[in-house]
Amino acid sequence: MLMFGRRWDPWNELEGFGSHMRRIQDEMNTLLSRFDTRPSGEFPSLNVWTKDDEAVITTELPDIEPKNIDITVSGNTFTVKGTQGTPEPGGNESYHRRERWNGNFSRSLDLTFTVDTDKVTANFKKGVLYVTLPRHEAEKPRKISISA
Amino acid sequence: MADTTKELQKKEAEIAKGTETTRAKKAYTPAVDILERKDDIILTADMPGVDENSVDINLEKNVLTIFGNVERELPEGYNLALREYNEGNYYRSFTLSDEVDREKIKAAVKNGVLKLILPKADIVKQRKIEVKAEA
Repeated sequence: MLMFGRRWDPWNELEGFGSHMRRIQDEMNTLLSRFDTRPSGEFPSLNVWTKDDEAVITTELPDIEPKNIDITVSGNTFTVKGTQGTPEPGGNESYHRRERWNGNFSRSLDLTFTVDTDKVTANFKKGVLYVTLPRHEAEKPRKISISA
Repeated sequence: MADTTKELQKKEAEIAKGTETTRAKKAYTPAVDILERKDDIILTADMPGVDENSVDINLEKNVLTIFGNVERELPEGYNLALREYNEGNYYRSFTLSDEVDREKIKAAVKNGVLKLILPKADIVKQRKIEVKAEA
């Protein structure tokens, strides 16, 4: 009895269809946008830019004093370390939200070439760190001329 | 100790339904800390890439909106080899309670971090309602 009790109403069904499509579209958009970035799940996230003989690594480190950022490069490994502390609440204080990074961080990345460590430069602007890593001279491709 | 439960990936900002942004650039939700102290509330927002000239703070009725415009400073002539984060604007809004003294809100930006000091209104600090018995 119950199975046949409700009449199928095609118009009613159509009404819900529009919002359904929109939801699918929204979901597809968020799914696709993820292909754009490849989060590592580590802090901080790094973007790497390359040109013929050098690479630039950029990373967002808001609220960190440049002197508290520790950058080391050895061989082809780049490491950035530091601490970002948010103050602990005192007696009469309490956090309603605490979403920002709190604590130490260390992040390494292997490059595809050996870095000339003497020529590494770093810049810090508006909470964004830029590190330029030139390729080591000895590793650069060399044209060999054939002598007659 | 590092808090591993934190969302590391930037989240796209939620824009009110039915509206669209006029710029093609994406807007992200800045991570914030909200600390309540005895006389004020401190709101700290991570907005790397902004400075004091590119942040807009708006207070309409009791909705506080922060917007940060980021001008991309991409290394010229380079190709992107790895992208773990996206650059974009920042957008987030908060509903304030009556206890904030709107006239005295202070804001500062340093190293890509916005710091808002929201002082509590005097009335809230010392308002006591007396209940009288009906005659």
